[in-house]
Amino acid sequence: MAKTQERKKSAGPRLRKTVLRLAAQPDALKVVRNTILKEAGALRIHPEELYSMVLAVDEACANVIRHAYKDGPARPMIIEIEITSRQMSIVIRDSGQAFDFGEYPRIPVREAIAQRAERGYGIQIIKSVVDRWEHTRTKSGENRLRLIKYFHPAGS
Amino acid sequence: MELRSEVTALEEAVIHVKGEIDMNTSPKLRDLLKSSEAQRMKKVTVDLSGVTYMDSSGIATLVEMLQTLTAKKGRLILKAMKPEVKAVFEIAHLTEVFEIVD
Repeated sequence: MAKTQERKKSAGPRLRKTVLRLAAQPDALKVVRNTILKEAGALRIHPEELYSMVLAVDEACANVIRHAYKDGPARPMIIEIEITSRQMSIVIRDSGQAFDFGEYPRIPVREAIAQRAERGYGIQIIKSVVDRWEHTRTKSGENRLRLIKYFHPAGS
Repeated sequence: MELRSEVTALEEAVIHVKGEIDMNTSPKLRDLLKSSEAQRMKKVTVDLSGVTYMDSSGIATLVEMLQTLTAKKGRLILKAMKPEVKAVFEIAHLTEVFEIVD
């Protein structure tokens, strides 16, 4: 799988910044997860909060793979990762089909099951996990989804 | 991800899963659960003790199996989830939907 990774010089001693450029295909998900875990490994982040954010990013990337590029070969997605011990900001960029992240209502997953839906849990999980999200469709045709989570100090 | 299944009684099976269940690997689990042998079962226990990660594609796969078994008055039991995997079910508010045992 083609991928590139660049690590920028951090603006502060505890800020970890990484940019991943990956082909948007299912085997990219593990690369994304492992990169976040590696970058966060040196920081004191509560494991449950870190795990939940890894899950949210995984779901967002899976959404790109499943929907944005569904009608053609895998194209690039770019994941910009910024982590400190207090927060994580992830931007997922793709040039696939436009979608309105906000249009997916935050309804209970159990309700989705009652309706016998077998898909659609991902965005609901993302919205349950993150503290803030911003989605924009740029004039150049790029989806940019920023996910932000604030961490409690580990051990608290 | 590694899968191993065993028939433990008439119409009863245990499926052991090991590794990570995500969009890349869940089709393999889905294929097993949709197999003709699995479809004959009325009680399926999925041993998740070896699963270190699960995302919504894994959940969707298990929901599909739950619906299939419920429709024929069967049971799907999720066994021995690690805390980090159980957390996904808690985030999705699914702990009361599935039969989960230690």
